[in-house]
Amino acid sequence: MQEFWTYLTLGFTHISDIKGYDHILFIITLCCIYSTREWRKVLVLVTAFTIGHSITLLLSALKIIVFSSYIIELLIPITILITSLSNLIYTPTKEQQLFHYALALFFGCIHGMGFSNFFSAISMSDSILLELASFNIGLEIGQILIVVLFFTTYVLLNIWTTIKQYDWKIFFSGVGTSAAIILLIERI
Amino acid sequence: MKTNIIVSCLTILLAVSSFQILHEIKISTSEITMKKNVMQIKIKFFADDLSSTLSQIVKKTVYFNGTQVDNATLTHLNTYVKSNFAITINNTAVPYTFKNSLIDDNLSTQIKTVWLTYECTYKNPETIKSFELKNTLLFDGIPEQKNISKIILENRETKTLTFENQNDDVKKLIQY
Repeated sequence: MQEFWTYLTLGFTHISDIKGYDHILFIITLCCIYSTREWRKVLVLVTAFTIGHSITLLLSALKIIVFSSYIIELLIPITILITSLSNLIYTPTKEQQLFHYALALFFGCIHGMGFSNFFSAISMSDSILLELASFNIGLEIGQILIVVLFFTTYVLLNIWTTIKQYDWKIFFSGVGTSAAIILLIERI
Repeated sequence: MKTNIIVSCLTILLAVSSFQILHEIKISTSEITMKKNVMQIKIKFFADDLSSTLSQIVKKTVYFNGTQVDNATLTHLNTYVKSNFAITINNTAVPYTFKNSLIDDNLSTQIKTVWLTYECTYKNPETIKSFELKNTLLFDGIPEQKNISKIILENRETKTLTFENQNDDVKKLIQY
């Protein structure tokens, strides 16, 4: 149980650590096109991201797939950049929504490889399944917390100001685009 | 509204760009395994973290190249480990000796780690009632350092201990 909590805490602090804001930024850019009324779509989207990163985290932690951490560190800001730019260009229609979920799944796979870099750095046992499961649960809790905080802020701002969904989307997609470019330049 | 958005964007951008570039991991892991009368201690460091901390202590640049730690570095390293990683069982300090080292330069993940293995014998492990571990490895060089230690004693519940430099975690006690 103690081991479970240790790795759960590590997973949670890893995703919610503001110093490693790339994962937080990706989740925000993924969700910022939706209003609170569209919570079902957000739920599906976050689930797709979760499935994606869980698959690659598992496969790479078990050394079934191996990849260059340099490439992954480059790909992560690219996922933020593409998501932010697509937010600025279009809002998915009903038909395009499925593609948006698939994109979240695919990008989740890339972020999962990033998580596995961290996980393999902290793991040294041969039997890693418990560590891996608790680490992943920690990631999920952190991810849910980010989404909840994001939408709570949105709701509160909606009460106090006349902020429009469009402005909200433009604001976070703009931040996402700029931050992703900075990250990309500095990681090359 | 547009002006507000632009100003907010610029403020956040400035804040974001002043953050660390990479999500750096400042963690070392160790595993203490006791089987019959033999206790094995495995410690895993990131080579760059260990190099920077050890370089500060010995006041010259320490490199980890090849597949094993060279003898000159090993002398400093063993002294460093023994002063920062101490095991006390039943209120008695347990000395351990160096067994081997391994430098794992993973070309595919591009992560270089240094593994150190130590060993000691402990008669009558079934009499262990208290197990205390001091783990301040890399605390002197890295403010955000965390150390995770797993203690696996035969026929006992596995324990995982986390030592955080920021929380001033130095020693942890396990009672069996």
